[in-house]
Amino acid sequence: MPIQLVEPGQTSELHNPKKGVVVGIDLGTTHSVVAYVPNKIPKVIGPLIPSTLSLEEKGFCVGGISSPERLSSTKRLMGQNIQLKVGSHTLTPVEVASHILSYISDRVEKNLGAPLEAAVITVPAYFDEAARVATKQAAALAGIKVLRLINEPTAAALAYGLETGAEGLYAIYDFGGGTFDLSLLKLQKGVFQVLATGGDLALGGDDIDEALAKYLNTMNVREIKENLSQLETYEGVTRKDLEAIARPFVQKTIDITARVFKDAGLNPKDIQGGVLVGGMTRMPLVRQEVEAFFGKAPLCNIDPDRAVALGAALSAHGLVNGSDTLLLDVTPLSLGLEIRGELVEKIIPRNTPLPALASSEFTTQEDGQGGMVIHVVQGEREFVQDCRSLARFELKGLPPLPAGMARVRVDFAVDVEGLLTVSAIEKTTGLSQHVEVRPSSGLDDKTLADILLESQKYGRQDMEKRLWAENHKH
Amino acid sequence: MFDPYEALGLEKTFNIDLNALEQAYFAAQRKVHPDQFALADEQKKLQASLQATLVNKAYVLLKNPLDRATHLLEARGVSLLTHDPEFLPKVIEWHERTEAGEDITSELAREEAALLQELTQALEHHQNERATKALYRLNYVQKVKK
Repeated sequence: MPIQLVEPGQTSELHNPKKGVVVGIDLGTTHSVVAYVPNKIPKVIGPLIPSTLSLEEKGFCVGGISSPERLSSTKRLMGQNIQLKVGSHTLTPVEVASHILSYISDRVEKNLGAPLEAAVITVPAYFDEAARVATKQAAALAGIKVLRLINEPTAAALAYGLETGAEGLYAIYDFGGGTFDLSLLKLQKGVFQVLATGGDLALGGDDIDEALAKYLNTMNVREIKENLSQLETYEGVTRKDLEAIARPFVQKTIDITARVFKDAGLNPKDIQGGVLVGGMTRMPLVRQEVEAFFGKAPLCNIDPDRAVALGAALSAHGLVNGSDTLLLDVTPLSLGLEIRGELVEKIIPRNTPLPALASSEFTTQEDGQGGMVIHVVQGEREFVQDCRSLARFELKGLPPLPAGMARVRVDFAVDVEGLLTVSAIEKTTGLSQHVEVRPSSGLDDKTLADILLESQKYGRQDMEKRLWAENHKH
Repeated sequence: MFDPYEALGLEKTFNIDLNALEQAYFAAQRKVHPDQFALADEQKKLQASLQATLVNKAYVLLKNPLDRATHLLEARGVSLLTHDPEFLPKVIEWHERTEAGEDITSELAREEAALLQELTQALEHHQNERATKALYRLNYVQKVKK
């Protein structure tokens, strides 16, 4: 089917944005940042906003850090079905995020004298389906039109690449308050092509704070940690103490980085540079370890706290006004289906360019089988029990055919934002069912964090178990 | 049948220049990527998304020599091998040596390079039977290497 093409740069003539402002929002675990592009140069609007929610006399208050009863780091719970308590109120992580987004919307209007028209919101590259959907829900609750979700390291690459005119292979090492992401990108003539990505949703500065708090037996250790980036000793704690505590967490980021390079078939010496993003990259130990891995000093000429928001603003500006820049991203985790009651058939492997579409065909096991359960999972392991369950539905009313005669085709479609739609069709009758994946159960933080590490650890063992299982069913 | 060469406007040969493939891919995505249609109506967005999906599919397929060979053979109406009795003794030998703790990585790499050359020549000379054999073996070697 021929489609009518709109050349890049032409969109602005077709759709003049109204008076409103188009922004990029970095909805971070510890801080949120909003930016826009006034005269081709992206600019942050106001100071960083602590991603906290407290209950004050006048109502909910965003950004307060003094109230003892406040919610913080709730981004790590996005997509989970849980209730959080603040005062006498209970909120879901989505509602907390929507309060923060409303606050951002107010700030934009107050500072610029114009309403927020639409936004690009960033998410960790490693965010799964549930968390992405939850982020969009939060924006909808706050009345913000989302142009698109983009991945945080990709946004940082955009800010870095457009500012410096860099070309070649770059690694974006994004170590923030709550999450770690590593993306390998190829930058070439305005194209930002993600080659591979990896991360850990439960690995951030918060974890180091928690370990330090346990060690010192005191709360509010972030100040100590931050000061030790400049000083050798602070409040009786030495940088060596902190480094001993932080080292295992930093090592985890290096292990993930090594895996992403392996996925991309690249060697650390192949890259032009590693770009540091996220507050944790201020820690000297982090810089040291990253430098040792890359074999060259990391690039830190962009503000690690603001790069993501600046990149998001550039993306939003480009989407509305047309742009020569092209972002080509990938899916962070493999998507698959349960087969034979225990195994996973991968339909879309991780690091597949988006948008993506893939299909697989299945048949019935019994004569006259009237239905077939379609169980969608996300993860790298060979067995269903080790992967994250995303959705389960049943294709009912199959025609009464002998075993092996029905032909059910399952299609997986993932859009540019990383959102999945699954549909199933019985080909002899045309019976079909279409499901947008809205994960029902919340993800257990730890499960997700461990998916890939375990996959690496057990890869061989899984494969052997799988071969055995397959051989014994023939 | 989906034709990845046509989707990217490339000449239908097994040997392709990866740089040219990439440039063709970027050029095609510039025209159809959904981000170019952020403010367009849903219908246009959907069409763009479908086109971009096909362009991605073509790129991923052509980037991988085994998938490329599979596509070319299928397009020629050739059925692929499902087993290769002549190859079996070698498979068993590798298996036994690995079980015994021997590292055969470099031998596999040499075998892979030789098979790829064999596949290239067979495809270029339209010797389809020879090509299917090389393809079957190459697939196996790559699986073992993983």
